[in-house]
Amino acid sequence: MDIITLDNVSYYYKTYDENNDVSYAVGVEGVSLSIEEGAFVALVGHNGSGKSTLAKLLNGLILPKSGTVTVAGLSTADKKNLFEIRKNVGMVFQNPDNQMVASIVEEDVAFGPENLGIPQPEIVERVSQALEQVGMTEYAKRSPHKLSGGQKQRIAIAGALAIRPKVIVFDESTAMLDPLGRREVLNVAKQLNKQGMTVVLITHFMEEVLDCGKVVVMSGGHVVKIGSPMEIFDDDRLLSSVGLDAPRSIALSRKLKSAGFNVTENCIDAKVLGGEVCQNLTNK
Amino acid sequence: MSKPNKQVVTPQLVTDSQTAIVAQNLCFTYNAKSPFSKQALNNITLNIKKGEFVAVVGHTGSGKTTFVQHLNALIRVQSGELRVLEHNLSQKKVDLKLLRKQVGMVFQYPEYQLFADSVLDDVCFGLKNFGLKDKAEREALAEEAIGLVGLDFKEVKNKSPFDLSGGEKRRVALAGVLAMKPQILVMDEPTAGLDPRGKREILSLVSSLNKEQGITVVMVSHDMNEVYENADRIIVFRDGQIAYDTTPRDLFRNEEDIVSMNLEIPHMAKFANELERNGYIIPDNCKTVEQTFEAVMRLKGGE
Repeated sequence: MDIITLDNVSYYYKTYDENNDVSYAVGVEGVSLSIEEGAFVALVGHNGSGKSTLAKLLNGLILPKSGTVTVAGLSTADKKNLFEIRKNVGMVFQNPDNQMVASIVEEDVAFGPENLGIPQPEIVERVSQALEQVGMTEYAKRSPHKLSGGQKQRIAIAGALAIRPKVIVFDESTAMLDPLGRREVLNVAKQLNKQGMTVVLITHFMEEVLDCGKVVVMSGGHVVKIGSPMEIFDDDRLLSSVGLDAPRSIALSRKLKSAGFNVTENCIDAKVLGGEVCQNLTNK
Repeated sequence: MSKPNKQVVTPQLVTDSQTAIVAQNLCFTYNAKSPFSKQALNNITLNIKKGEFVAVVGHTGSGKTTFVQHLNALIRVQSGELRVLEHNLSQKKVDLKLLRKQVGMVFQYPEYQLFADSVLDDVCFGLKNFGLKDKAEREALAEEAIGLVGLDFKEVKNKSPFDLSGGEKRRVALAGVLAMKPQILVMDEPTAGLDPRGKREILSLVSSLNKEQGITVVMVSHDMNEVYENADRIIVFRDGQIAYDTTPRDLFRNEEDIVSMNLEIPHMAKFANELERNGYIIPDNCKTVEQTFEAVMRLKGGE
């Protein structure tokens, strides 16, 4: 079953020029997309390709100028639905420092369910479960400001989880982290997906999309391709035309393959690729 | 060897005209006389020559940012010796104005520091602050700097910096530093948060500033693939000390140790290492995908 459906959705940003004349810039245009319940979907594209605009459309932070966005059967266009929709779609943003609202980790995580008017005993339970899901239980009583970037993002994820959403959208949540922090956040995303959560991962690091079921490539506000990670990497021309790079190991394996080497196409592990190349060289 | 007397400048620290930065036994502790004291730098000794492109890497909290903030005296020397160009930063009296003109500092997400109404005003701000009174002269320097970062001066000069794309904003911020004509450029993660195209643009710009203008570059980065391909030399910080100070190719031959520091092995280094273990040599200067591919083709073609 589809948890999120976008039907021919367009969104434009109002801009003003020097004479205060209004013009419109494309955010996204004519986007149709469906996300199945339990899926792990990546949205990729260069800066300004429309992927963050799309993310904001998914839980009604912005509303389409035309077309419809439906979440769990409810249209975002109807104001009455927004509360329910935002309970279903949790968001984690880019900057870990901008998402902390309390001075104690567990209070920060409790902020969402408190706002929903959940009874106190249940909040306690939700908070402890959410912290456990992101592996931050031991930090419950700490101050979020002393944590690393990756840990802060995990608290932000716990905050989203405490609302018990069906979908979590990661809007470039790894962009400002160091490699360790990035791995922490990705691992949590993968784990949540294994437990049945629908995950939408927005990124321009192509290495992060390898484990996704489906990759949606955006450029200029349009969806230009949807496919498995390998199908996307197969399309060199598309990748370079939208300003994205295949991971270096994959790029090398593709070049070697087309030069006649007997190697795994789209090989992500450079060590494996190296071993294969050695065999080719020895047997020549 | 006995400890050098603190009052005496250690003789081996004498720098020549080829030296950009020299540090000896540099130590720094945050919140020194308090229960929260934390030693961030522990006996850093290094020497960077003019014209080098040095990458500084290390896990968060390893001391790399504390070190680079010493280079234009944002953090003052607590103990040890530090010379940057003609300045002795271990002494109390330092010509900060001149030093900060010579050592351009580009912070993380520098575009957050843009503030002026127009790109031109923003780029001129530093020049004005450093006392360049002649407006025409300021604008000429700004025009040159904006050209250097690959933006069209006429097109952008009157635009609000906030109307530019992320990559363009970062280049404007960089132009503000370059307008001062620094001899040393210190950059803290200049490509963080940019998409692949934006990253390539910034890196090729930094490379050309280094190669063509001879600017010494000290670049902090978390992206091992990009440091591997761009830097001449990599300094690895670990727990406030220098763990490695060597060429990119040699550094990543230490796979296990690098991984234990939570750093990644660049794809092309991993590939070259595996070939090396099997007796096939990828030359040390072949570091990009393209270069590695060509090296493999040469191996295939028969030595």
